[in-house]
Amino acid sequence: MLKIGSYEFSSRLLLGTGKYPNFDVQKQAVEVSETEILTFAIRRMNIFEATQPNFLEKLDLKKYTLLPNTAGAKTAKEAVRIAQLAKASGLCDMIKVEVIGCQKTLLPDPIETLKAAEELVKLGFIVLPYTSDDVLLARRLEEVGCHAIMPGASPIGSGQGILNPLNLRFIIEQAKVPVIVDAGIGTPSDAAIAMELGADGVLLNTAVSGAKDPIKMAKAMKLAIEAGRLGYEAGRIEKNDYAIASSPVEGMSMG
Amino acid sequence: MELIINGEKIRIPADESTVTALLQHFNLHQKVVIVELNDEIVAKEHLSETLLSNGDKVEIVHFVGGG
Repeated sequence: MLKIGSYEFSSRLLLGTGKYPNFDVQKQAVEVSETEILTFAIRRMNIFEATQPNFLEKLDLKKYTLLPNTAGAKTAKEAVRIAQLAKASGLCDMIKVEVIGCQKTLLPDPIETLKAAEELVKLGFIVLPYTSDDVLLARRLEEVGCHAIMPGASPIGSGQGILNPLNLRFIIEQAKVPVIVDAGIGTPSDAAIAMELGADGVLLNTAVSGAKDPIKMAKAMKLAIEAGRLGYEAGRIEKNDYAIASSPVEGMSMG
Repeated sequence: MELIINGEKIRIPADESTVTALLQHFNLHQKVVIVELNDEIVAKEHLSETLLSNGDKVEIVHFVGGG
């Protein structure tokens, strides 16, 4: 079970809802992924297009926990405002803190992220900050009361996979709250590696929505995350420089 | 009256005097929307009693796809 604040989930896959080819594909991808947590962004509505469909309206909200993000915020103040808007919907009290400090790399601003996270914890939110893989920042985020830490594997949407597994391992080892690897996952093996490192979950979006077949990729990610988790729990063998025979070395019928 | 809705000046009939009436005017009352009036969030339960006046700044936001 993945426990975040007062919530419990059986799935360790958190799925983004951006950039799918269409709602039908998206709905099927969400279903086969068996995710229980969906991220959303908060944006101005086009008030003259009331009939425009919205993915949220297509979901059975009893089945999913919503994790709105504060994407678009460049400061802690903006992030807090977006979080409050999201909570005012009455649909959720979890928030993914996302304060981007650089438009080219989409890397998070560490200082504003920490400030926003601290404030949102005080305001009673379940706080999941998207952060870089800085080990000390992860610790500080936990110290201000964050309910999970979400370090990026590589830049958002880049699909580069896990660039610094050592830092992720340090973050996972020190954390007493769940660590969810967020951003940069490209393939099922990336997701499996994150889980094998001991991550409690993986948040991804583009890897599924941008795949040639998003539905099949959603299934692949679900299986990879489950496999990676099982592998972590099972405990891997030690690495050795030289071969160690699997078959008995005694009792051979030759010579 | 004239309101600034999502950054745009928009003229609405003078009798649309509450936030709920405004949402009904744009046919948004059945939608999941969050409203901010002059930088203050209007709680769902107060939408029908919150009055609008000329020049008010209204933000109407919703959930969209995102990661």
